[in-house]
Amino acid sequence: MHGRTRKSKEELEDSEYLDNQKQEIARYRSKLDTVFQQRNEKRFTSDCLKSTSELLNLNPELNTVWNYRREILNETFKGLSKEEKQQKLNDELEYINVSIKKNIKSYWMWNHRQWILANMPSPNWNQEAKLVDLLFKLDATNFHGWDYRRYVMSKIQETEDKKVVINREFLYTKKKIDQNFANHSAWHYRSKLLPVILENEKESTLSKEVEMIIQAIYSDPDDQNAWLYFDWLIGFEVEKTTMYNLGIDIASELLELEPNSKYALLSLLKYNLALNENEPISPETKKNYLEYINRLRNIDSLRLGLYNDMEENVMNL
Amino acid sequence: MSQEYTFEAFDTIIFGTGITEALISSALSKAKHKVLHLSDKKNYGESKVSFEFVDFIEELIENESEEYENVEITFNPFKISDKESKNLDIKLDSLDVKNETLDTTKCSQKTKQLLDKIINSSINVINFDGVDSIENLEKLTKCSKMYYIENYPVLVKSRSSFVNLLISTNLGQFLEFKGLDGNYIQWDNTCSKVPDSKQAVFSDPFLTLKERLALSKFIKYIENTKLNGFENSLDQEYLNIHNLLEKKFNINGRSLAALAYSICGSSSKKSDVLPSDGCKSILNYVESIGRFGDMAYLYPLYGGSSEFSQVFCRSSAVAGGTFIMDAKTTKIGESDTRYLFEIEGMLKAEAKHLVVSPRYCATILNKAPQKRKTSSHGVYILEGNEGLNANQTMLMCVSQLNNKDLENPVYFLQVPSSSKCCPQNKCLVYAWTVSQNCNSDAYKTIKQSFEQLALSKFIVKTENEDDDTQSDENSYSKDVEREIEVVFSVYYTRLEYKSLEVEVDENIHLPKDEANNFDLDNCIKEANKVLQKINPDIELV
Repeated sequence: MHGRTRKSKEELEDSEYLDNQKQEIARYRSKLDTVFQQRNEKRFTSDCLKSTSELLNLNPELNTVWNYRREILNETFKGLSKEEKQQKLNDELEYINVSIKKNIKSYWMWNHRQWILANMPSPNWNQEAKLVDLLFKLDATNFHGWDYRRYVMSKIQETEDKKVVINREFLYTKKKIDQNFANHSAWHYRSKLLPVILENEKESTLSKEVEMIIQAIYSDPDDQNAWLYFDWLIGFEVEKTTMYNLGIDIASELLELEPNSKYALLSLLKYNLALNENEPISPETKKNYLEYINRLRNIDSLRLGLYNDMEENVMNL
Repeated sequence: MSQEYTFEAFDTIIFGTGITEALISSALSKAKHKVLHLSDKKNYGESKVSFEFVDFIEELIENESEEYENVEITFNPFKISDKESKNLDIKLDSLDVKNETLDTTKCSQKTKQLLDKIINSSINVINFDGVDSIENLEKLTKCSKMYYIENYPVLVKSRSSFVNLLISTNLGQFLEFKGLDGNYIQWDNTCSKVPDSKQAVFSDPFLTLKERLALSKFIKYIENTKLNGFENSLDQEYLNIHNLLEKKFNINGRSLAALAYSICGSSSKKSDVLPSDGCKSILNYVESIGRFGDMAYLYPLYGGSSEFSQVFCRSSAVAGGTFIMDAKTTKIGESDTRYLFEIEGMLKAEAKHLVVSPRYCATILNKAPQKRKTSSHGVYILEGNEGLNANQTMLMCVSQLNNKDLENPVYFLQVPSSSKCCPQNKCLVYAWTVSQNCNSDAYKTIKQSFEQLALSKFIVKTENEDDDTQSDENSYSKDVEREIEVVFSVYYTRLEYKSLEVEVDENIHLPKDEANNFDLDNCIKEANKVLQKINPDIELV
């Protein structure tokens, strides 16, 4: 886990600590046994729900127990009115709200949250969107949050105009990128939204995106995100030649100012190769490619194997 | 008339409650030294003091020519707005208040007394407009105790040695801070954030691609020096921080001003901020970002920089130090190893060591150090909570009108609207400028910059919590019609004592006053020097 200090060797061997650990483990074991016994006996009472809560508080990574919890809840829903079911699920949401704060990176809890909302007679998806936004104030790069946000938005799109939602989300990613342009999740989400955005204003959108990419590249040539996003942009184009040429231009211009930019050299090589994919290349061009590879070897000695491999491929052209 | 006083022997007597003296006092007392700490003033802080409103005006009046010069005061409300922007000339029709028939019948006793003092003093009152001005003054004096004014505002960086010291001595718990919301540079009638991080460089709407690259390379250079240390040759190869940024990193114009002024506190292209010192400031600034809040600077609440001195003095007193404020001290004797003083109405005291801050050298050592003009200041009270922009706590640096050489920046600090920093529903803004600007025209320069700033467009990324998803892509550019109403302003130039440059006995210690608006770390160095001489075993922590 991030941000937690590791216990020192002395602390780990401290007898008081060890005793506490033993008691903790015994407590956990007994709760575990209780829950599994109840499950085997197919008991679905509110007491059983309570014991799952106690166990999950100790260890939220037990998906079987989350499943059992859902079985219990489904059982208790039988014969309830919509309002009563909503109330039960609201309580459950309250429970997960508290627990999820303790372990923001647990897959099972996000999964459970999704289940709660999906089973609610009247789920408040906008509330969920706000919650994700709150989470991003703490950690804007949490991919569970981004995943969940996409799910929430797909639900909101069922009742609201899809284009409006997507446009809003597109602006939202820009805002997150403006706060931290090394936020890979935000760039990625943006690329997922692009196809819908491009349906309307292809030309102007693309040129704006390229402008933003260039801005990001010059603000930190060593950050991979913007280069990667450019690759994704190429993917949306049918006629790729223009994009390859654009990529080559961006990379060459940066290289003039920054001769040791790794990503510029890589891009130059990649887009040139793609551009001339099915054509024979002149010895002159080949020489250029080999020179780029050589420069890459010098500035990025950790990936010698990769560059040797590239060299071999170029030699065989 | 001679009087019989009790006699008490001390290890060290300290004169003056500046931050350096307070640090020394605290460390000595904690090491069981017997300390007598004296000040002839009522407030802590020596040269950096906070006062309630009425006391602040009285301080300026009483110490004019001793510690302040060119005091200009306006308590007639005036407005600066977009519509009148073409008419920027400064009215200099300083009215002679003494000849006005003042209708003070509606005033409180406190205001009357203050008004009397102002009229009988030699400070200038500008744009005095009888009834309006008096009514206005009445409002300000009425709640005088509800806020304070600093004669020299100080900001500290989150990761400075001073803040680290507050934490390691556990004294930080007695202070409260507010992190600044923003650090701005005013350029071309626009006030925008200083591009001080990679992210800020990316979001900055004004930078060209080349400027972005240059800044990003410089930031990377600074980050690397954290690991590898600074090149030794830096100070030989480059004249000062301006020269380094321009020649080595190709940083010019607004970016240069932003880094050199707003972070290094340099005052001109000819400044004496060494390249290595400038880089260290920037490194410390960059490291400070994110420690407590998003910005590097912290502003002390509930008492401003006086609190810095007071918190260390208090810890000295808790550890056994004796404090006498407002003390009248005369030297009555001296032997080879002891100095003897009489503190009027209190006691006779002797000590082996003396720590004397510059202002006390004349009375204690009979050697008056020279005075110099160090900085010129302005204090503004604005109507409403908004202040210059959006109720933010911020530092703004204004480069001079039509000044291509980037000389003499004027700094503005808008302080928080809570925690006694401002009168209720008003906003307090401090302004200051150093060195060359400190002539009798200083207030004109500051006033011009203030008007320039008041009419500037602020480029602020709006962090509106509620309509997060609604924000338009260009919403960071905010262009509103502005009108700033100033209800009180005062200008003054500060006179400070230079450190005494003469040989003194080895047991007399003369710490220099080297604190500035952005840095108290020099106080720690000075305090350590003195402690080293008194007893090498004593440390600040």
